[in-house]
Amino acid sequence: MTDCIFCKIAAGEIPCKKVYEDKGSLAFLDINPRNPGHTLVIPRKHVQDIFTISDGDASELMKAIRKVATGVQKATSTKGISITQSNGQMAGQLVPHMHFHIIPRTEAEKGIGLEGVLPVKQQDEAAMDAMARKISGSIPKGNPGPGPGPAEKKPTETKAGKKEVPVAERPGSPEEQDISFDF
Amino acid sequence: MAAGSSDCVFCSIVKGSIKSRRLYQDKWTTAFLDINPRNPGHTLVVTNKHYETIIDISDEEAGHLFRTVRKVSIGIVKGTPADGVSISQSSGACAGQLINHIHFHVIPRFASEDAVSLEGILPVKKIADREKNEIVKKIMAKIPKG
Repeated sequence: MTDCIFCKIAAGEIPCKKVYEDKGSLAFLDINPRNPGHTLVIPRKHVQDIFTISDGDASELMKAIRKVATGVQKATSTKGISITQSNGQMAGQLVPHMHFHIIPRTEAEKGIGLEGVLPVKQQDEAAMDAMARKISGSIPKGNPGPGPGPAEKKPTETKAGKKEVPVAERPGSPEEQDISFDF
Repeated sequence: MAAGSSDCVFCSIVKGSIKSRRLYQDKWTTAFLDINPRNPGHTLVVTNKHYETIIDISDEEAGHLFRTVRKVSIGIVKGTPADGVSISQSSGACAGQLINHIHFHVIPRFASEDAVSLEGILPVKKIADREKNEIVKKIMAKIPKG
């Protein structure tokens, strides 16, 4: 998008303090840091939010976030990292290009989770049950794609010497099923 | 399961030995309602396997975990009156992580509430350019390759 500040940063038209980039993602220091090392991770492609990013791109973006979070933690010697991502203006999203905040935390901040900005609102049991049914009934099904392989099993050797992961052991393959609800 | 996970409340929820309002489960991840909701529909997404923080999880599993966060976010805006969602993930006690099993908060947000972002709880700090440049170098050097 031509008038998007994060697209311009991704295109190199606006300078940034870049800390990481790969084919699909870019990470740079937030110009309004909540702590030294506060980094933003964005997809290069203009995607507004978590509702519009593809399943595969979401997965790739999180791999970059994990790498950057590891780097931020080691570089700042912090014992804690907060990650936030806002979807929608009402959630506080100011730039309509999906972005994750990676924020190193300090002991002085007394272990406050960032969701603590919102007060807890207790609901009765019946309301919680009804809410759970509504959400579970609206979660998209399927979406095959890359994911974690089974760590215990090694890929099998084929006769040609090529390694091949059995299809049935890949997440997102046809046997992936949503397990029935258990309230 | 990693050592020490037998007394982990989220491991017990994944296995079903502690009851939860489960919204979604696949072979690798589970989503259920937070018992202390910040808004109605506040959901937690966890890995089925015990990992403490985002530093401990593999690339592939992080990717898959977030695929489930995405699915749940879509479920929340389609299935409830929420207008958007805030996503939060804490690693380490000083970040507010209370349960030592990696989890994402997916919090429904409403146009009727203050449009405050979660990171808004922390004030913005002024940092000198020189210090910023130094921190960039340090972070770049510590990001895992590959």
